[in-house]
Amino acid sequence: MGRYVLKRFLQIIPIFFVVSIVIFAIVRMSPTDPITVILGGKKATEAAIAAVKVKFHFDQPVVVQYLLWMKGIFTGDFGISYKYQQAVSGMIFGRLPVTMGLIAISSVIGIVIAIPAGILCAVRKNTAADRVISVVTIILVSCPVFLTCMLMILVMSKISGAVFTGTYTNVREYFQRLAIPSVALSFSMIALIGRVSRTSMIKELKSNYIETAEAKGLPGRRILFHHAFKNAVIPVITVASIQIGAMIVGSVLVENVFSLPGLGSLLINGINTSDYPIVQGITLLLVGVFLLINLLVDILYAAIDPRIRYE
Amino acid sequence: MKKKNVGRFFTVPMVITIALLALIILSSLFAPAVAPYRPEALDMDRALQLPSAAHLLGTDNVGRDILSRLIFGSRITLLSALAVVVISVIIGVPLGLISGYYGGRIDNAIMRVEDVVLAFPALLLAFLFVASFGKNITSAIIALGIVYVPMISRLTRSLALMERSKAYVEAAQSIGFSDGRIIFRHILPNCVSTIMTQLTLDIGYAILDLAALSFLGMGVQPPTSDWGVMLEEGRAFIQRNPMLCLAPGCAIILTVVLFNVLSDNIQMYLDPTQRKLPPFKKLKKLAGGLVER
Amino acid sequence: MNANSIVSIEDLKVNLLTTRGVVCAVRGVSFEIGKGEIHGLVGESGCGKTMTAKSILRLHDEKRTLYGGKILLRESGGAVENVFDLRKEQLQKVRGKEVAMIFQDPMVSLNPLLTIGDQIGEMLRFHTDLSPKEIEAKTLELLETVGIRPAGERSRQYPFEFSGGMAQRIMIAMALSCNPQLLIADESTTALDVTTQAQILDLMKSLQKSIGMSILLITHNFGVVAEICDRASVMYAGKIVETSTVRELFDAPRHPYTQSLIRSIPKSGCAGQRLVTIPGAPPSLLEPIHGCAFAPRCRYAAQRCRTQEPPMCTAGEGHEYACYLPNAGEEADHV
Repeated sequence: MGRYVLKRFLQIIPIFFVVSIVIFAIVRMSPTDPITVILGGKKATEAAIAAVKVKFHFDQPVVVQYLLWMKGIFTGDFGISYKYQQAVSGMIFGRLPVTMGLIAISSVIGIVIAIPAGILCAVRKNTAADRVISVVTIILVSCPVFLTCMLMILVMSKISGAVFTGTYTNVREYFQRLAIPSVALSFSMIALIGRVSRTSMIKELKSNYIETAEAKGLPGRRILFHHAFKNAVIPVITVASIQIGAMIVGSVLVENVFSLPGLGSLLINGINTSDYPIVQGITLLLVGVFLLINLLVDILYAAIDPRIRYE
Repeated sequence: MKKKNVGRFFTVPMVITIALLALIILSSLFAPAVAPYRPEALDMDRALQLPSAAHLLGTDNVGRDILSRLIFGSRITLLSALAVVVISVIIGVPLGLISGYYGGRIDNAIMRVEDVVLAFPALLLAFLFVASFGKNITSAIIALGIVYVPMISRLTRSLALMERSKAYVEAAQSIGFSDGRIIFRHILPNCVSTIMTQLTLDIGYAILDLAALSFLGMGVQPPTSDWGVMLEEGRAFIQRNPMLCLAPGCAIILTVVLFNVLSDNIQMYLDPTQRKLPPFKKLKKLAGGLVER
Repeated sequence: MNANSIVSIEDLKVNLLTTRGVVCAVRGVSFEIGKGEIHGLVGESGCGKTMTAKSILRLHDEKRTLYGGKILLRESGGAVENVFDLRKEQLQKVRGKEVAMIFQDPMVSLNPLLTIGDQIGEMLRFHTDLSPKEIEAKTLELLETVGIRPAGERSRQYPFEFSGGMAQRIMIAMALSCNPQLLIADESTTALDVTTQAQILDLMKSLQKSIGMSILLITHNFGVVAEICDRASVMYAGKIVETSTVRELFDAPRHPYTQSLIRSIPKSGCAGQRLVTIPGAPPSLLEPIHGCAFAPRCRYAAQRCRTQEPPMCTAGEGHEYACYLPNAGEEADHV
């Protein structure tokens, strides 16, 4: 098991570095001139331009610029924002709790609701409950997350007149503020995981070892949870990990609609103002998080399935 | 001999789905004839009206007819979604076929490159692309096309892997057909139906993703508008006239649901074991109790 | 029900409801299995032998199945129950405890994610009052009995670490854990190679003797029947066409189908000769069958065979067959 985890970890390191090169290269290929962005489009003296060039390392070859950026990443320095002229790392880490909280809470909501619903549908296959849930999930899968958010704001304001602003100085306010956005973000997760757990469960319930378990005279609950679910959960985990990736992007949209001060709104802001240190910093951070989640999923696979563990 | 028990293609849900999709596609093709107004015709006196006989879905903040905008907007939405899928197929299918057929080092190299694309969570790579190459629909389409490549390529790869081990491929190899001929004339036709099922689903996803990009101002730029732009523009006025958001929102949901259902039905047609049985009570009634013969 | 019988199946009918229509998989099957008897159920694939066997435990998806007839089971306490009258909880007590079943492919019949120790142990956990310690000891003992050693180490392994033959031994150990009265073995040696097959059959026979249980052995292989069965029933198109002791079945088969089956067993010393086959294919069980189901493939079929169904006839002690012309084949053969 330990060797397996190490092997997986070593596999994601080269991917992380290649991704960092890709991010850096794409940003460098932009036709926008960063110096104009930094100077805010104003006319500047030769000396001022030269100073900016030195400050942002534009006087160095591209490879050195990349290496300097990477060196910074590992020391917690993500560079300096073109627009705000302050450290990107500070801006990012200040906003991290909102985005991560959003993703974590909605993942939990999604999994807690979707898996039991999926199992219920599989067991009561082709009944009214199954059909209703199937129709609801297909609509939820097809509904853009920002539309869900807008409709929720509309409905909430009609009901209680609640406005989703305010500070979050303590834990209670933090959760109050994130509750509704997290629910909105979790919808597509619920729908997708629900569908996958249903299909996967139906498939496992048809398999031979379930017939054996039935012939052994085990109680229905034991067959369902100890035998079928353990096998059925593997594809569910796969889809959940992909879906968490989609939620990382979904959080950008949710933060946008609910005006939450998270990474997403900062990223969009960065894109709109060509503030590349912010864009590449956040992108790399999110990729890193996603790779770590994938690593976690791989470990989970191995914990469940001995065939992977002994590979 | 290998005739599968495929059953009917035109089942009732299938006919309904295809009819509705045809309606949407035809109305977008003949938009000028179908739409009651010009989509850009302003009428400030009639701004933010709720649905009426004159404006079936109401009007927006500058008095434009929502239904007409919806019909014209569908052209860009559908065309760009199609473009995304076409790009991903042109790159992804050959990659997958080569990967699955040759295996070994070539396969490994292709897979590692795709790993890099897959390391980006969902749309993030598209964001980066658009941020760098300009906020317009062309970069959005290209970016999304690239994001979709690994999905389609891995599906094709797994299908090609299965086909490669079958006898007919070995037979073709022993006759001395070229690899290119075997891949494209023999293996590809056997994978097409499964790939098509996935593509139908992907068009739906592309519509969603493009709407998200447009909504964030990274896709279609006003005054041109698609359903995503309409949602973004309607956002500020949602309290005064919810139709501004509901109309394009429902249009997106309906279209994506239809592509989902279409894909499900094609899959069921290709794989009869997935077909749903009628409920037990109905079956029992059909059987009329225990049959003895 | 005979006083000596463990199971008595009386006029069993099984209908499967499918998208293509109602399949009459079993169309009136009756036979009894005595205490300590090894009963073979033979026939081509699709003839309903597995359907019949699974009905004893009601293992079909009951939302898609209609049953007719009775299956009487003498429980270890002595009470006789109709399986179809049992409630779900009662059925769970019968399954595994009174009647155990092992399946064709042991590799897919074991749960891939649980250790084999767990899978044997949970039988004891749900059917007996043993403590966890005792369960563990008993599990190891069972593994030793079926020849899996070292039991302690192997009980912590997963199914994928075993070969097919070993996995079937585990299935047997699991089936025997609660000392059932009847073991149903559904084609349980078919997926194994010939040597392993013989070992598994030997193991079953020796265990059957020491425990004194009965076995219902389902197979399409007459060789297996000859090797270990006491009595056998031959099935065709959802019905039993002949039941008798194995000896008599081989020496004096009455039904033309049985005769053809026995003739189609390849014999040694006949190299170069064509194998005997039965022309045609079994009828579809979706459509009604008129007369004897075998008539279209029968060399001796008369007009009556095609319109009227032959009743069960008796030929001596415990030998039954369903045919109008029981000796036609014999005479033709001895020319």
